[in-house]
Amino acid sequence: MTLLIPEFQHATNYPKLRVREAYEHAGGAKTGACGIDDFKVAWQGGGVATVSAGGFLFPSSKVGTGNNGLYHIENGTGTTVTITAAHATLPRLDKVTLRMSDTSHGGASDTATLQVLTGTPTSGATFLNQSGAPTVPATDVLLADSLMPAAGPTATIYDRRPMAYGDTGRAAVAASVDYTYTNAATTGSPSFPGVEFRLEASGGKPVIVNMWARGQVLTGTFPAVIATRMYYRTSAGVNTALPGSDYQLAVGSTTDIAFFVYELMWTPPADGTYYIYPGFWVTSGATSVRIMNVDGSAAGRITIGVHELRQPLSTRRGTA
Amino acid sequence: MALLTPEFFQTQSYSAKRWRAAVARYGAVLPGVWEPSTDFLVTAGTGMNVNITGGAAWIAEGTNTDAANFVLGGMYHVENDATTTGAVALATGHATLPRIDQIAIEVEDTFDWAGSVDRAKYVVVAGTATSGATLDNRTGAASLGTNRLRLADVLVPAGAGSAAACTFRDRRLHARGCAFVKDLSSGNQVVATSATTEINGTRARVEVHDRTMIRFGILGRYGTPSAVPSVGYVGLQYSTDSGTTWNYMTSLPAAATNPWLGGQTIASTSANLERAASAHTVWVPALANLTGVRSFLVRAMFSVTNGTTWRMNGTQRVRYYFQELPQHGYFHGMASG
Repeated sequence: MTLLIPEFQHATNYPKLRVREAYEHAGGAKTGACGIDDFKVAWQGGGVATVSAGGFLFPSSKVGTGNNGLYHIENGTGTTVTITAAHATLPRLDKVTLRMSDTSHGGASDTATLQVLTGTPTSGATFLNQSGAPTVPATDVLLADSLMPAAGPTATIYDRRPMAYGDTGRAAVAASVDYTYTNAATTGSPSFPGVEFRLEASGGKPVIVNMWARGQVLTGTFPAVIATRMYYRTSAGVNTALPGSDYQLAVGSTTDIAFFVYELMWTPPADGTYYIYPGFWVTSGATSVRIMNVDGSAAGRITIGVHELRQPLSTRRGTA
Repeated sequence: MALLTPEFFQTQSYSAKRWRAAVARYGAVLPGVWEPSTDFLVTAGTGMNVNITGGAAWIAEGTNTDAANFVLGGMYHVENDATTTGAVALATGHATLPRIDQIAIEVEDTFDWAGSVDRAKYVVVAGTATSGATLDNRTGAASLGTNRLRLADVLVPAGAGSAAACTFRDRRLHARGCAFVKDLSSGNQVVATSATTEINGTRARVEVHDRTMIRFGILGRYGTPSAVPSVGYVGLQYSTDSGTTWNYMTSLPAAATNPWLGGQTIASTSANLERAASAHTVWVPALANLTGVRSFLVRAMFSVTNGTTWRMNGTQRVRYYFQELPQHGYFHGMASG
């Protein structure tokens, strides 16, 4: 419970643990892949999956007891891992991980190794329900889920890599037709086909979510109200509203256009996979609503952006 | 002055000072504590002692101890693995006058700075007892000094004989920037005609670095006007004097004529025709002449026009986020800068 010697002072030599911890606190990076293709898993065939070559990754800091700083690894040549043969009648969910071991912190060797954690064949197992999936230990970074169907032979790979500098991207409608919703009272249909962002949340970091959309009431009585709300669902498949995401606009005729533009910050309740998507419905007066072209083209009716931040929320700054 | 030898060549050796300078520029961090909710929190202990939680922090080298523009120096990495009970002791209160003391972490460095040993330590920077001193005006507070990170201001009342009798204000900067979400969590709020009104429960104190950029967004929901058409507006304000004077946070200098950031028209008195107003933009405190001011209050506001009455309505009434980016906000976005 004393203050340690600060890094870096001229006359002091530092153990590598201290260098790792200083780097962890210097870069704002967290455990995860550095680049979009780094340590990415793909199905090769013949019971083998590949891990992309030439990438960089920060392995788990939780090696042995407590947090031991930010390790760093490069996959120079690419590697393959073997997936266990399929069960005859049941699907199986496996996990591909990178495991960190450090002899200075209770490990058997100073190595980082690729692992395949084989799940239990389970009826109805899917990526969403995770039935029969193995537990990932704290020493491992989860790279991918592998769903092997009953009798195989080809597994479906789901990218599960956390991103070292935060997960980010956008999703937009690219279909060639407009979507129409009929009057759905107050809850509506919490989905919008084709606009769904899959976030791999890690490190407890907040996420900025924004949306740009354009709406029009097609039929009904006026004035009418178009309402929208952002939702997420996890692997359990439960639809949950993003707090503070309500937005609704009134229109006076079939020619009125309502523009929905907003941005909010939200913290996922735990690390893992989140599908983020908008829901639309009509709250009064109308019988159908269309979310239509933004710019006259087939694409871009609605766009959502998701940006996982590097910084944590402060529970100490929300008060006066 | 010549260009210095770059870091890092295989055949070169580098001083600790160069390592500190490099690490300060490699990353996305500024001087401050690593985990804002847990690291180096100061609380009253027994007698005049104070307790300080463990954690990690970056401390700027030199005198720019609470600024982002640590141009000439680097940063020290400091860590404590557990709470220190009785980390330092305050002096007892002056007989008749209040005093502002500061609690800080200091790095002693025998090679590059004056110091008796290479170490980090907790210090009390005692102020001068002064009539009328408060945590807001900081009258009589001493200069923080060299190689230090401020953790807390302490108001030591006249005659105080225990730390429990003192008032502590958290002054820790966050190494990755200050970020939080704030909302009106319950109840409707009715606003009188044309009033500019603070939204209940949205006031928050922030601590930011000098010259950094703030990103923020607000989304509010309202309805049931008494007359139409009605137009509602939302915005965020700041105060540097704990709530006496407020100004709007805009992406323009303080002289901007339209401070409101988002608004919507409502065209019917129907209770079902609620509207939502939203805005998201960036703000640079330095553009509002807040250079050197790092501690201030923030609150969410709304207003109406055309003789209507507003309320924040529904189950999700209003919410805003505040995010200090760990990078400088520059004037390049201004035609004059």
